[in-house]
Amino acid sequence: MRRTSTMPSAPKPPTTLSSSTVIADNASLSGTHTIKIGSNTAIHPRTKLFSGNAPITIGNYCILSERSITGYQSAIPDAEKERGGGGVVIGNGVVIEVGAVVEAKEVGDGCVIEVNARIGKGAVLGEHCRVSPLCIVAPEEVVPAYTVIYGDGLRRLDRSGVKGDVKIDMIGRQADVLRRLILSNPAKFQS
Amino acid sequence: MSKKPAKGEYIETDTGNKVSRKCQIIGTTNIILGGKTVIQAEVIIRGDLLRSVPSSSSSINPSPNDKQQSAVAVAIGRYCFFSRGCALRPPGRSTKGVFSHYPLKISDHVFVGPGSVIEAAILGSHVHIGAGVVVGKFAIIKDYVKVLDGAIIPANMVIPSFSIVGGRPARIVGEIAEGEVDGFDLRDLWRSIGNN
Amino acid sequence: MTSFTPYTYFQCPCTENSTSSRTFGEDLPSPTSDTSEDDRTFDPRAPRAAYSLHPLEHLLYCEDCHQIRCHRCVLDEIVTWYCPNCLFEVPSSSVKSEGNRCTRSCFQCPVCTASLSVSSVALAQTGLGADISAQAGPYVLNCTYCQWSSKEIGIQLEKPNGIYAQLSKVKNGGEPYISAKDRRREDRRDISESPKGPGPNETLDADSQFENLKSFYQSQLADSAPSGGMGFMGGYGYGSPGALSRIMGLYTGSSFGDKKRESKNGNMREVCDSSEGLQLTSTKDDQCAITRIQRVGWEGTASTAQQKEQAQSVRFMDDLRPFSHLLRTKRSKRCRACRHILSKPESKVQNTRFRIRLVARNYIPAITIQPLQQAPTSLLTPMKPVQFVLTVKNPLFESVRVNIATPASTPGRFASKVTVLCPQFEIGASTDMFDEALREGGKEKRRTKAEASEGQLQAEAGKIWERGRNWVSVVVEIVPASLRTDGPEFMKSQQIQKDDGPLREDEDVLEIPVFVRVEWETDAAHEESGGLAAGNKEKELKEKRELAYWCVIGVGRIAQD
Repeated sequence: MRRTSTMPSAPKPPTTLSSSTVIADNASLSGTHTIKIGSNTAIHPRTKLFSGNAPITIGNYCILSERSITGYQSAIPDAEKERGGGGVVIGNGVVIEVGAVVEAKEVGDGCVIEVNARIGKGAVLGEHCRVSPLCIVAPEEVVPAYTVIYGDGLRRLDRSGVKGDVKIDMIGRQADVLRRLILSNPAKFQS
Repeated sequence: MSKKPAKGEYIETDTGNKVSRKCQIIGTTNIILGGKTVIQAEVIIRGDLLRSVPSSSSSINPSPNDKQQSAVAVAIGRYCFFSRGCALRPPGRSTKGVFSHYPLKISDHVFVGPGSVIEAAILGSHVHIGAGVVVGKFAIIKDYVKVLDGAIIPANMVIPSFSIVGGRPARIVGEIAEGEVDGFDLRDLWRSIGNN
Repeated sequence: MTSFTPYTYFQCPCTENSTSSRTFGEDLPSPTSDTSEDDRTFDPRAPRAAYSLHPLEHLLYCEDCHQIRCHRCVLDEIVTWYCPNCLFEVPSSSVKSEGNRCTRSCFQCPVCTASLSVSSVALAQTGLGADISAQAGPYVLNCTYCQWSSKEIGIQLEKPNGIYAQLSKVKNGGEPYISAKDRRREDRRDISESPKGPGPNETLDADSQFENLKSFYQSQLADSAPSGGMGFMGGYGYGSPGALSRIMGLYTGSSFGDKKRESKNGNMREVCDSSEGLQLTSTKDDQCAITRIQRVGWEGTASTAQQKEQAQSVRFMDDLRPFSHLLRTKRSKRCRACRHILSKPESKVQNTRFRIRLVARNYIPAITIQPLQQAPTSLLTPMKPVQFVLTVKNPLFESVRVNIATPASTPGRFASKVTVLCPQFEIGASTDMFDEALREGGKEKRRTKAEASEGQLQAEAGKIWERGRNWVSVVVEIVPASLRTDGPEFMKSQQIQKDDGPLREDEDVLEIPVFVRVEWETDAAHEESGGLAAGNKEKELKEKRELAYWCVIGVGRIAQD
């Protein structure tokens, strides 16, 4: 594709990237608040992180896929700001799949947000939740840990005993593979 | 082709592919197009997600450059149609603790509706996938299958020929009648797409 | 509601009902009002019509009867049984002996019905595609969609294959499953040591209860089969000695069977202990269930959909079991009238070709409808004439004459007026695929009347609107009816005077019944011209063919004013 770089015309957001972050050249980071990305996290091409309304913090060993949008898409009310709203906080070992929209206040460790799922503004996902494709979590909703949201909004608790460390280890390996495949350009986003 | 190339929406190749200028193809060298395939605007094809484990050899040295001959991430047959905003992505999984992507193979006369996300292992020929469908990792869809709009095909699912599937998770809801078989041909659709 | 795709459904002649059906609230039709067969219009709203209308793609065509065949007038014959998950062909003998489910490793999730995959416990569910590699066991079944795992019901497996056999030996919770037969065998061994045998109130699992009941009643039936015609019912009676003696009785005179019957009469009895499949229920069971519901709550109870998939009646999530895939079939289809095969697939599971495939769309013209001018709304305005283009496409290699007839006003309470401007026309032959391939890319030349005048489209009566190589389109003028049931009495139609109830479901859809008659000339059928000598004559021998059928065209919804 012969195309000039799609640098966002908006001002570059202040970023804190780990040295081991894999971030594709044509991912889009925009906004005015800080975007913090942890170590061994991979960001696929055409992933959007938007910090125009609130900061974004992403943990270690996360994978953010193409077309997913992370960050508040609308302004947060002042009351929320006063409470010290930290914007979107994503834990460790979180996988956000293609086209998912994440406006959650908090996404716990080891969560999987599947293709085209939507996490409403200010929602809180506990640890190791799994939101199946096209499922929706309402704004401000609090989802307990180990919840599986599937079907047409059905919920159940995963009682099979997830091994968090194994899971995060696997995602780390995936990030290692992606490091070789994705044209990473952290310098572009460094501030 | 006779027109100035900058004008039309599609780039037409010698083999008859019609590729939108607004599509988002990554890793073009790892994608095979069989010819006469239409790729509409905003379609993402992830050719960069190559296989990182050698297919049959025992050497566990996953570097992509020593395996040039098998550097295919997405293989697409003839007369396929990828509607606006769909995504084709080679599926990935861990085998014996090693993570790798595996090629996505698409046969002939495959229609993918707008906004659908495909992470299948194999799409057979004459497959019609509706709008907003999610085809999970390593799913295998055989020939003459119709996937209804908004269906979610779970990972590893196998769909036999002549099935109609739909729902979340997808299950077989019907059979393709003998007379419907001809309706899967996409040649007329390919002809109707062009720059004018 | 707003989107509407025009459709055409064809009536299969197999359901031609000679008795006119009644609509809701209608009086009994008076015997004099029944007009002759030819004058009767097909009513797409008749309750029976839903069973006889099919899209063209679903219909077959019998070349010997020269008639349309639908799924109700064909006979299905199973060619191949196969598992839809592993695509393995199952011989019909094992279908009979082992049931119509996959007996290999294909299981469905009891929670969400998705296919289960096998994974090693060591690296269970990552959410990144389950691991199905050969890892050291034990193994569990995992649902890739809802994350259910056989760990939740306490089942772990030793091998990653042959799951069906492994699962049938283990109960939920991990205890080995012992069928009643095995237990009795063990108990019998114990009898020698202790006098305690299986009591008459022994609790059985559903499988062994069924086994016991089946064997008990089979023996009962076998003993008393000849007592009346009932002995032949249900297939069980056929193989029994009782049935045989009855047949013998038929030939040798009634005395033989009668003697038997008298002696056997009164022998039929019901089960009376657990070895015969009797299970007594007690209030204790209910009490158990209630306390369990209180303990596990809503979360722990299975939904009706989940219960329905289970082989045994199950109330709780902990009792759910994975169930194996139902087998699927490949079937060939025969005409019920002449027994000729209309469709026959290749027997191999993976082969998608057909040996024989006589589909209606290769024999009868396809009919499509579309509005002549793009209307601003998808709804039809009442009492305002609109024009539609009706396109008829000929699939035959001969040119055909087509007659289209519609009733002047559609049947039902709200009668819309329909006029086909050109009801009679000829369509050119469909040439073969090579010609089509040659003109690939080049635009087909259309002889159209509309080309000259862009803005002012004029449809003329008796003239074809547009014509292609093997298709013709004509204009249909429609005046949609008003959906009002109030208003002055003299404005109302007879039907509304009789029934002025509110609008029923889909009554606003404008459907036009169309009677299509197709005539063409073809080479005389080969079997009629015998021998090689007839070869010359054959060319001149033209046979006149005719096909006539009703179809229903759904045009659109009428706006409510």
